[in-house]
Amino acid sequence: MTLRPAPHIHRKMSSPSIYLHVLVALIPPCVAAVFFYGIRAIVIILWSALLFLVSDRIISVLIHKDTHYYDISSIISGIMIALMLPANISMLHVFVGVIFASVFAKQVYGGAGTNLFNPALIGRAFIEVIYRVRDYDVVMPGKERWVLNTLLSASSENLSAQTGTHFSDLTEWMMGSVPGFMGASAVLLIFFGGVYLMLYGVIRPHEPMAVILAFSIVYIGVTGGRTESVGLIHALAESGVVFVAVFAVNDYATSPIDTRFRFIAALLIGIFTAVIYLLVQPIFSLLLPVLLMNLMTPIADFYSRSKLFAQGKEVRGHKMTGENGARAEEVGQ
Amino acid sequence: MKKLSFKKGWFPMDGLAFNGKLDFPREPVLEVFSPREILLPMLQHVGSPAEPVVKIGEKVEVGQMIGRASGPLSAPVHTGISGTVTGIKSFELLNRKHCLAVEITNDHKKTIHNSIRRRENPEQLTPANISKLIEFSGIVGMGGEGYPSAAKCKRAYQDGVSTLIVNACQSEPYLSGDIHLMREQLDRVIRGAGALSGFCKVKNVVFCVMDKWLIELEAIQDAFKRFQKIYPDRKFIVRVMRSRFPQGYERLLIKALYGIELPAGQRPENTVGAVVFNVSTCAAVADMVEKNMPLVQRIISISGDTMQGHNMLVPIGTYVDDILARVPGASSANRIVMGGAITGVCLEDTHVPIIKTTQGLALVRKSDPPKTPCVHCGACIDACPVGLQPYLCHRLLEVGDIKAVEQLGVAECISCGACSFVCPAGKELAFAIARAGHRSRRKERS
Amino acid sequence: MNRSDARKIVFSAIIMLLLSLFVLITSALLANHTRQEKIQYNYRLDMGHLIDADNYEYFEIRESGYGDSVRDLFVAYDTNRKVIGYILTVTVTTDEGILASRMAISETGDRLIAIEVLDSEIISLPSQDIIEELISQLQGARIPVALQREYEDEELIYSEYPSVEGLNDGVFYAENIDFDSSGYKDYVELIVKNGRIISVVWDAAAKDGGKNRAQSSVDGEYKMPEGQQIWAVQSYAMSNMLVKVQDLDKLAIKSDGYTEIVDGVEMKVNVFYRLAKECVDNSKNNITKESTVEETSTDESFSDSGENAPVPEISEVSVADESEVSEAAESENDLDSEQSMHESQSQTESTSSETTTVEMDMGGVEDGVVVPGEMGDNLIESVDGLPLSEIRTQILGVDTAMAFSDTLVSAVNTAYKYMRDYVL
Repeated sequence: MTLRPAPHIHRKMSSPSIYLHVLVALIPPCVAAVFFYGIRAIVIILWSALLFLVSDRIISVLIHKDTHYYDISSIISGIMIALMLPANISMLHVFVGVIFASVFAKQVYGGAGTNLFNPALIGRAFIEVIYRVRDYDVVMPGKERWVLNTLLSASSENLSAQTGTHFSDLTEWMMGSVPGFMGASAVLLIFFGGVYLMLYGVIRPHEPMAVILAFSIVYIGVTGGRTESVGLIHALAESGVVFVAVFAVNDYATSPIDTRFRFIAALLIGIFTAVIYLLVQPIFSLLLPVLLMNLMTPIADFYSRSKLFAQGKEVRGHKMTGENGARAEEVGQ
Repeated sequence: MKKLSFKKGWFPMDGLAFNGKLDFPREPVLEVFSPREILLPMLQHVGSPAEPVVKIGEKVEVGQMIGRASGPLSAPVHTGISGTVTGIKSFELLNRKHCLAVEITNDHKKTIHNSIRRRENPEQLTPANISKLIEFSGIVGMGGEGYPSAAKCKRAYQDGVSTLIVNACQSEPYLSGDIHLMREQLDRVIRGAGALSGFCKVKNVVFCVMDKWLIELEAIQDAFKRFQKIYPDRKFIVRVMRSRFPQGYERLLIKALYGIELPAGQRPENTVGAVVFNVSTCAAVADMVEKNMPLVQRIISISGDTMQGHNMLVPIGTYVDDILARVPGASSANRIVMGGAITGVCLEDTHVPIIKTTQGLALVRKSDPPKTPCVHCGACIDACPVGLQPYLCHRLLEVGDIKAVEQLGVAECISCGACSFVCPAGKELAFAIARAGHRSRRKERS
Repeated sequence: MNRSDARKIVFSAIIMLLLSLFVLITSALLANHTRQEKIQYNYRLDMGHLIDADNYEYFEIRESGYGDSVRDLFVAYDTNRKVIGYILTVTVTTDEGILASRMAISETGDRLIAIEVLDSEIISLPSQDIIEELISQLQGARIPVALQREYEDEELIYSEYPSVEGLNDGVFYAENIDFDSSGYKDYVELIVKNGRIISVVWDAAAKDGGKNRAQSSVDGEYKMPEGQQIWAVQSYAMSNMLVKVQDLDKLAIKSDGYTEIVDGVEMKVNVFYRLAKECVDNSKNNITKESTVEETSTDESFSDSGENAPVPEISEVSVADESEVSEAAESENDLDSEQSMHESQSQTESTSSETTTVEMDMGGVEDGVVVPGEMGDNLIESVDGLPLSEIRTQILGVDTAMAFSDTLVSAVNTAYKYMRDYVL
């Protein structure tokens, strides 16, 4: 018989189950990445996830942290880094980015839940800074994607960029066949993941909607009538804003804990993403706004005070008979 | 009808007993339990303990007074079985208070005390008579509050309240005794409420029920129509609350009904002019008024994830392990919780008696949620009905910054346990924060 | 979390997997049949303004010597599947940054149809007007191109090498009195603008009215002793040095007719000195090219230059002039005679064995390819590794953005070289 303070029952959702749900929600973009970039995508995703897991684990053991549970959030961060990379990235670059993210963005701050920045985005940004990934935008290996040989030969130089070879097909854009990221541009499939998370109550629908709406409004407002009908969808896919909206804006640890602030942050992220997307490379529009939000999160948390019940004020002067009696009658009828 | 509620809290989507799977309150017949022996602590209420008026070896009958009220804020204790007093000993209650307790061995004869008899015209009783009856009956707030009802009535009378609120929102999962009463013994409840309203001189009697789950509004309205003839000067109203936890708390009930947020320590009597009674209390009052039967037995709900739940009518003072011996799934439970599964107390030793404020027993097999670091999800903020930031309070309490916690308003904590319930990291937020809130309130008072 | 929860999660994972696969495959099936058309449509959107073709074909570039600089290559076809041009994306990395440009080159590989600047990381990117002006200069030009160098570091050069006093503006000309032993008559043409020498051309006309010496040296017919640059390169270097230093005396031509201060020039240059001196004097006396050409028969100018030579050493040079020239001619005599013997043959049949030998002797310079590390260091006056003789067009560039002009020209030349080496 075990003793513990009340309450004695608990809702089904626990941290590991939340992380597992996110993991499940990441399946569709992963499938898109594998579908479009083949065996190389699988290897990069698995390599990144495994690396992140092992790195976190080793650091936890080294600093004698309580390691009685397996931190599934490591796997999530690893997969997210992989999905934001182009398929022709070399394994070494992934290694460097993931280790940096694990050590300097996560464990230095105390591990899952206490990190200041989203480790996945920091890892991706680090790879960007070190290797300038945007120099080799995209690769569509075509039928070669199922040939094992691409693993060895597809280094960054050989699979050089094929600029401007995106297809003007709405469906393909929504599937993620947009230059830039392996999985972060699969709008429709990320949307499936988001719906899954909302159904299980892991994320609220407000923030993703706010991000996408703000982005769309600013994008249409700035570009005006010059955009084609599919321009917005392409922008959504290429900027990776949907990926951010679903998987980064609602990241518990790095977004404001107060839902109002979180919503405002989501709106701002949508606006910033649109502006930055229109000005510079898409990868920055993916990373910068969220990292900015992460930076502002502690400040938002500091100033967020939920409305206290009764606000500590005494209630006086309510006469018993007249007003309240009548009121009770009113509602009763 | 419009559904009322307060902000935040949580909808018990995956809580127990709300999802309709456990529909035991539908059972019309209660199991009446006759224990081998009972133990009656003298302190089953708020206030000073009762004084025993029996001696060891004395024969007692059902309804006989065992302990006498010792002051203005006290309540007498009666026995629910007939038999012999076999001991008077010191006993430690679950809240670590010590008092005397009378042990009575059952002779299974159920001899009724001669004072118990059906009253012919209960509606004709004067408020003074009702006051005496309630004072004698030892009725206390049976929703867990434990405040002697006689004292509460007098206070309400002095404050000149206009509304009597009957709280039938048993919002806590696993508990369904009140709902059973509302379904099956509605007349008794209304009669009790009528007697109380006569005593408090109120015009409106508001029944607060939750919006789902076996409550039949039509039946309640029909009953009101019938009783309108008996109590022509009172207005019976039923109000529907959204079913969310912790709706049953007095302050949240007032918030839902009046939109007024009462600070901790303020009573609804002198602020909004309403007095709140539990459904079970009303039923007990009805027993006293009609049959002269003091509070000697109560309905408890026995349920949990190990068994099909049911409601039992047990004499007060029955040992928990006696009851559990009768329950099929009890042995597989990891924890025996006295009270509701959320706010109840985990029993170390099951050889403790059921007291007047015990609403039920919960048998919990579920293991603890996995403990992880705080994931900063904000679920506790969304759940806290009084608008605290439990994660922050908990963190500050961990580092020992009591002052900051008090500035955050921890005194408002109603110890409902919602934060712990929703916390995905398995943190025991409610325990630490409720304790800090209790200390803070005590500090403010002194 | 218990087993049933875990089972539920695994189940939903499988559902998500199947759902995404279904959606992806459906979309692929829906979209695949027009894939080629869509690609072509996008290509046309992307590159139609450069060259309007019916069909574009992409070639992936692997293992090219220009690795990073030439990024991708499209071949443009017309409706009859005839090649009408090539589109290349070239990135040029300079000290100041990276410039990416895309250009259309004609099917013959020697004319630039159109060019656009894609993406620039040059620190001081010039304004749109400047880019447009440059592009208008380049558009339609025969390639390779070079910039006229007079703008290069003008301020610096002006202060370091001040102009010679007393020069009049105009075009001035001087030529040798007679053909030398190898059958060429040297001439120097000098352009003075604002009192500064801005252009010097040193060449020699052939006796038989055939190719000039510079051209024939490029074609491998006029040969220099082994180890030396071809004549055209050396002559250009000499001329350019004069443009740079302005003063003939600063060329420091020694009495034996050689100079050391001009890199890559190893032949005797006293003829150049003499003719240039004549031109400078003409300029001082304002005798323009037209009048000079008229009175070429007289040797007045020659004797003048000899008399007026300010430096004694140089007067010696002019005295020793004729013997030097004959010496130089002697050393080249064998090759020259052989060259003249096979002249017609090598011109008509490029596959003859003699020509092959000649080509080998020239060590690859003949076709202008500069093999890095071998010859490139010596080719100071080459443009982007192309000998100047190969330059077809000289553009002015935009004097306020010389670095940018330079980079763009270099991009064009990279494309030219790539085309020549790998495509044509």
